[in-house]
Amino acid sequence: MSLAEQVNHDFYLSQELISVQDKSATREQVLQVLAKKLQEQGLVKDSFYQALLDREQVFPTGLSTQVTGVAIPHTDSQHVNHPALAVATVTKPVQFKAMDNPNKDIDVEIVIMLAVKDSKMQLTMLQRIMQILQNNEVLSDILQASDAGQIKDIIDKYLNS
Amino acid sequence: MTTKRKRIVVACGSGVATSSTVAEKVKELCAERKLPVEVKVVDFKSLKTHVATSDCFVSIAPYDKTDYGIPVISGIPFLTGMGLDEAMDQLEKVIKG
Repeated sequence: MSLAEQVNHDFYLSQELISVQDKSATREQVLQVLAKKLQEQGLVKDSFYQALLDREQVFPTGLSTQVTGVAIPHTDSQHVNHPALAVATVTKPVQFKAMDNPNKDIDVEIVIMLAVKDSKMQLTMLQRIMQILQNNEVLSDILQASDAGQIKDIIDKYLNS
Repeated sequence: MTTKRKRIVVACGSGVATSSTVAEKVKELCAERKLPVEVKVVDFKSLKTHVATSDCFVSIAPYDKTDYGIPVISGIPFLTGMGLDEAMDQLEKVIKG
């Protein structure tokens, strides 16, 4: 089965797209780590990382949740080949600007990068992913996971439940 | 006789991820509260034209202080669930007002 068939309208996620206890010290670093993973799998175009940075400047994606700070970096679908997710947890919080206030820093411990191809077709799955932000149990489990396989299982289980 | 549906416009940077999710949540919660609404997702570039024909603007960038001439409500609670009841109360007031 080719990758294109495999991803279909769902978001592709593999262990290779997850970085657990990432050592990135800055927002740019963690964005680069995840964007590179997506790029290596051919899921996004070369322009994705820069587009991500540009968008983060104008429309930051840091969010406070009940568990911890979470960032959901994403950018225009023209930079995306296949819908996918890339996820990182960090050893030390990295600062993202708040989505509702670009002057406020949020200490982010979970980064969920979204490569969105067609938001209308993928709306159901996209919403499901976004609901993770409201699910304390899933967020805590992701935060405590010690390897990529665990995070993949947590997210797969949640998205398919 | 039909009740006139209020128009809500939701916008984020690219109209890709956040605004679609927020719009669905707004639709769902308005249905729960039996509020007759029509929800449209746009990007910031085309916002001005849509605002002219809308009753309320749910913004993913509520720090934007532009005067759109219609009430503006933060869309973030619809994403994170934090402060959601308050945001819905605010929206209901605007819709019924």
